[in-house]
Amino acid sequence: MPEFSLYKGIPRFSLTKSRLIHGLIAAAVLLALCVFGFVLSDIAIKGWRHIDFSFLTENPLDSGRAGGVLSILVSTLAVVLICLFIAIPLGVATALWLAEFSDSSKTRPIAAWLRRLIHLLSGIPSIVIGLFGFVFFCQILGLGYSLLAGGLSLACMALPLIIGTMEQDFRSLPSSLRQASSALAISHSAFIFHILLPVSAPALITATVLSIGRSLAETAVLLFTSGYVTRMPESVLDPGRVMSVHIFDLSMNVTGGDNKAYASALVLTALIIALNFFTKIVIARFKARL
Amino acid sequence: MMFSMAQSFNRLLGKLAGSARRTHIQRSEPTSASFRKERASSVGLKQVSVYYGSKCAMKAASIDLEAGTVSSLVGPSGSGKSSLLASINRLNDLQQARTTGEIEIDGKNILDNDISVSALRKQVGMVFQKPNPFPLSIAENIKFPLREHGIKNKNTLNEKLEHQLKQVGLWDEVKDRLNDSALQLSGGQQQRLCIARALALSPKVLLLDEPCSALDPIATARIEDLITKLKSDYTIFMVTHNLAQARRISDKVAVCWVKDNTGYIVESGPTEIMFTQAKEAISQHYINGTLAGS
Repeated sequence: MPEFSLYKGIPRFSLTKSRLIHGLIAAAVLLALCVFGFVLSDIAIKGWRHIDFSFLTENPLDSGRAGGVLSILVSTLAVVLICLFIAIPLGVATALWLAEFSDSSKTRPIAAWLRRLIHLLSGIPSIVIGLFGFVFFCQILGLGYSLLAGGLSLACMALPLIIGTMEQDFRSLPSSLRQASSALAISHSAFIFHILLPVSAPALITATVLSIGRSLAETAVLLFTSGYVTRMPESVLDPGRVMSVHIFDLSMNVTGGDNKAYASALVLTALIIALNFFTKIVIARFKARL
Repeated sequence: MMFSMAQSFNRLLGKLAGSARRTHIQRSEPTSASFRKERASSVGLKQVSVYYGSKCAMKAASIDLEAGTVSSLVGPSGSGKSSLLASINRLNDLQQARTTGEIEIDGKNILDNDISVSALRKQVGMVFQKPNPFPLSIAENIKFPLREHGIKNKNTLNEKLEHQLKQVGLWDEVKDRLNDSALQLSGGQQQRLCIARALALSPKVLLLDEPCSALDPIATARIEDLITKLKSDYTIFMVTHNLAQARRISDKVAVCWVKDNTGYIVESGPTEIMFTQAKEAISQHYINGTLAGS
């Protein structure tokens, strides 16, 4: 043992124990990295060969065996945007109400129930949300298989996430700022718009990115609501196939679709990784400004 | 009897500090600075009690705060000092506190129901223990509250900004980075910015809740200088744990104590009298830093 050791003077038994624990932790880290590395390298190696520029600029042909993924990308983007367009304003407003306006004795029970329901909503399996979306948006509201129905169903999934993240962030605002603005006789609405919301912008970005990530990965919900067709959508009322459904279909239902499935998976993974990097940079900028 | 003695002592002190008084009178001329505020207000607290639910944080406190002076509230933690302070701008209302008694500012009881709390808080500025600038730029920290209170003209806002920052001695330190975040300032600078922010609304009364307790000695000295400089234009009421500070900058000291979980004012009087010949044993002990015999 070297002379200046971290372990010097520690009884042999606990020395062995602590080394064992260190070893186990290292092994766990390695294992986790291996899983990630394996998935990523598998997709990259098998997908890379089948990607070229035309893959991104052409529509799929022959059930996706040939051609590219342009219409799929457009549908995916449309569905995600619709989801955010609905879920962000609704989610932020709900979180704002829960954090800022629900503390009177009358509203407190309503808020408690609302929180319970939101919690419940976040635990509902996505396949159930998909079926609900199919029944409610596609049939009852008559939207049929459409990007709009898909986006609305996705919004149901994203809502609890956005509400939860934002309420927590609103509540974590230092009470000293609240005091300061009360002492300066600043109105509640001015406080919300000039202090609370700007300070919560990084949390909103985080919540948005988590929602986008989840939406991009979502298959079950969209299988039932936004449809299956691979052609380019012309309006939000047209059906369209999103990336994850495309991958699912190519690998499960289309013989000879594996190569394109790998290529599509690589595109999707790259999108998500790029999104995460982009967010990190934006949030760091924001925090540097504060 | 005691009260009138204290008053005559005050008058005596006033004569001794003649030069300071004269500047006070001069500054009160309406012709001086362009941002002339109205004369400072006198504040009278009569039998003020503050309750949180059934807990009484401060019981029957009475004290007169003369215009153009600094009064300090000292005493152990939990003796209701901050609660009493925050009753004067009714910031206590936020904690659902119930305040009884009378707090008269310029002869008007501000505990009355018909008072506009917003107008009151504009008149009674407050600075907190921990500097709490808004997470906005240095300039916006001053301009945002002003805009909220109806000053929209850009030139007026900029003049006001410069005037307030000069008043607290911050202008030269920050004039080249007014658009930087206020959170990048040091603790002492942040606290001076908070004072400037409070003063921008032209209050007559300034409440300071341990304004230096989070600051280093040099920053503390600057704030003390500032308080001394400001006092002729405002009525300043300060909570402090720093007895030396209370002695250095205040004209009047009130000692609070806590008994049966209830805070109260043991006695109050001119600073030098309180520090040399306090009447009550509790205040003598507290001021000398010896534990009161129980």
